[in-house]
Amino acid sequence: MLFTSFIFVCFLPVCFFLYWLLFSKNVTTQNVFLLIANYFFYAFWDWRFLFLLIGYGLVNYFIGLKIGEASTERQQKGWLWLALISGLGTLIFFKYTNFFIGSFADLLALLNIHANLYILNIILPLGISFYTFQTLGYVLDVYKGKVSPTKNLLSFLTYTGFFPIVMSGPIERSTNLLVQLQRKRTFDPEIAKDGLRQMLWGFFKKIVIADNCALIVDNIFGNYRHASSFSLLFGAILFTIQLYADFSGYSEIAIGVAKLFGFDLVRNFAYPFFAQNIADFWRRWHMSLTSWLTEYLFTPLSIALRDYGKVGLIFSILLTYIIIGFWHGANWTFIVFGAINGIYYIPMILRGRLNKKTAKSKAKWLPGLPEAGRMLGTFGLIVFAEIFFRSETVSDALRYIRRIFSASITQYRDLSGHLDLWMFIALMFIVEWIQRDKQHALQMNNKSAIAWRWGIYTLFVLLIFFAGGEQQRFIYFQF
Amino acid sequence: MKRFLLHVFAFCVLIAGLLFVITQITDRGLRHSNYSGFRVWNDIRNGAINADVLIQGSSHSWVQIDPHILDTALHTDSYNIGMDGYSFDVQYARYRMYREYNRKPKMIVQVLDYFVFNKTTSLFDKHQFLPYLDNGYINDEVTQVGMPAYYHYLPFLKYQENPEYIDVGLREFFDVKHWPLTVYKGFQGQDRHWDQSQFDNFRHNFKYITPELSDETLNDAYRFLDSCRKEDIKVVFVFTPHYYQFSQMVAYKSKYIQFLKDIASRYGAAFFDFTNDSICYHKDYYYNGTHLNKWGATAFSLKLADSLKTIYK
Amino acid sequence: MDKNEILVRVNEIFKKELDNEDIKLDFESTAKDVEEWDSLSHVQLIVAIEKSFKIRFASREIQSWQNVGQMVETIFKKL
Repeated sequence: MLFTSFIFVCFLPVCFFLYWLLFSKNVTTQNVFLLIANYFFYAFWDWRFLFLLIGYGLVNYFIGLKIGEASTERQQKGWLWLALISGLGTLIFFKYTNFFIGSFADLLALLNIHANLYILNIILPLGISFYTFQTLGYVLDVYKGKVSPTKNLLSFLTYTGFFPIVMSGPIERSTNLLVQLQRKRTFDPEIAKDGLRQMLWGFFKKIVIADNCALIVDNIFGNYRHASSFSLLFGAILFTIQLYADFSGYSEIAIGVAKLFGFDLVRNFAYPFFAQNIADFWRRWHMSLTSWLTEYLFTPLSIALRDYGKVGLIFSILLTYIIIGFWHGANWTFIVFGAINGIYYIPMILRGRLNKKTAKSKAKWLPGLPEAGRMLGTFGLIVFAEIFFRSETVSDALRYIRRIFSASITQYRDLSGHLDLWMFIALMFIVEWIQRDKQHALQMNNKSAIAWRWGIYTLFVLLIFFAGGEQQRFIYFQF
Repeated sequence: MKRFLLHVFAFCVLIAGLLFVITQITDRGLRHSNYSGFRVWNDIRNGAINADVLIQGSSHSWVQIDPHILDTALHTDSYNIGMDGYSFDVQYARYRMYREYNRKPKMIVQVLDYFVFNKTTSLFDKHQFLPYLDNGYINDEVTQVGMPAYYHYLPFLKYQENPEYIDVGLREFFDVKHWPLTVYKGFQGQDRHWDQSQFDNFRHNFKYITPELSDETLNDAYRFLDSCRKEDIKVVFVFTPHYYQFSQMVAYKSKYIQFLKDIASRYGAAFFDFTNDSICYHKDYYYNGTHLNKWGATAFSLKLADSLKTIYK
Repeated sequence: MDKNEILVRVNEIFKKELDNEDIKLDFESTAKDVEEWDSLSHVQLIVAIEKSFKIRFASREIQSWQNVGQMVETIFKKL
């Protein structure tokens, strides 16, 4: 079910009351209830794939135990490979089969062989990219000896299907969420209130910013062959903002919902558009995915290749980003998107500047000119890469970019309208800038006057209510 | 926990209260606004019409019959409540609302076209109904056509999905801006000219037009005619002129008009048929195949007034 | 060389590689305590340490470290 759907608005309070009033006796009752809620939530979309989710949980639970029991490293490795092959194999089957068939046919066509290959009719199970990584992360941690395998099947199944994150992350680590699932949760009104505030901010970003952008962006990318260069540029910028508002908005809602049930999830976004270089950007964007791939892919790879110096590092970075891109979906556009981001790192690696994290903006109110310049520059790089992310095919993206520089500059309707949307976007960035050292933009303590706090809540509730765009699915549900 | 729930509950009450106030203010603002088509609805609701001659129909009424001309010629007080884009089912709902607030007219000019007794299938310009969903006739009818039924129970949702009207309503309510009047007694002459290429396209796309009827809407019509007979209101059926090349595209045209004439005679209503009038050949009087522009409307209203004189005392 | 001496030498390598004179490591330090120490500089640090001590780590050793103390422990065993 969608967080922005009517059914979720009913589901959430019912769960909240049952969880805290009827099932709060001990950790087992709490987890039993959560497991039921998880499966109801997931089955509401498609009950058939519920078995896949349960299967993932059971298989990885047993593999975790087996790795723990195994006496030799050889046996441990064997179990690890079983987990990797079954997990990634399932993911590849559902997500990439048709891509490989199609690309294989293209390759044959290049060799002048015209094969009639079947494209399978495969439905992508929602959230599979997220829960595959989440369960594999657990097995990898057990293998590395970072965590001991859990014997508690109930909490492990609850961890694999945890409803706030099962559809679209954040990708939780067992060291965080699984540990919390093994203790009894007690109600803390301050945490619950903070969760509600964070949800409010998430809904604002999703409904007011992302959904309003969607209509314009779809229009521009759908008709880019006839758009002026100004609208194309505008469309690319707006899409970058839409993607941010959509996915970070979703993440804030997920984290906020988890807080209502007494959980502290990992942060997924840390104001990425205030980053001053590309490395900084990726440390703040979809953090749960980048940190996952950094730990399980980039670090082992770069260590294995450490004798090759900068070439080894560049290769590791490129491969990591290509996989980040490919993770989003079976399309060359995502691969190019990833590769572009990897390429952005090369000058920094060559200059040997990688290890210098840019100091946090010291500005109290406004960023200095050089800082603002670096932020805008980084934003521009991202906008360029996102054109590939959004386009249907790589050649569409290339044509889109060519048209930015070749089409006529403006058409009469470019500058009219959308003023309110720009005001909302400005509001979002201003609030996030002011609150940039906080975990989320509406984090407040009880010291500020109640009238001020309630005034802010009211403002955003009314904006969500009256200024929201037509309901759209979350972009990241397709990944 | 208790305190937390209390806070959440209090906040929900606050928001609900605010939504209620905003909806009320918007309703009130729009009920005094000339914006878009609200003026006629407002005149109806305020009982400000009380016309002796009431003109009703679809856009064929709205843009083609000028009450000013009828008033002068017939020495009477007329008003045009024609609704763009709606068949008789919704016209009838509007008529019943009219009668709730206005006294009975002496005569009703019912404008006919090829789809008048068909069923309305889409909510054209649906915002015009929003401040008037509290009226039972209107609410029942537009809900059938597609207005969400929950608007009636949760009125704040109606502006949630059409927020631009909050803006208009608030500005009208607080006297920030008043929109100028664009209709004269409901009539809005169109300052537009014939567009040959548009008409050619139309002919190319459609080849021919078939008039449509719905039993449900016809039953509404019979109920309407019956009540007028009982109340002693004279009803006049007027089939307005269409451009002759359009009329040539209409299949079963004479059969259809005969069907309408039979209804009229069954209920003792007069019938004026302008589908073969000389106006039909005057291209400059039209802006498309079925609608007269403001010059055509003047010419036609004068002719109509002459015809009405023969039966209006 | 005892563990404290190793720590001092590792600290010097960190200062040089990360270009920050203020770094002060102890056995409990982790990547969270040193701002410039991230996944990218991690490799550079390891290469520099290997060169300086003339040793070679196994990949799994590197990935098992939870703090500087464990790193020093591994170095100590290899010397």
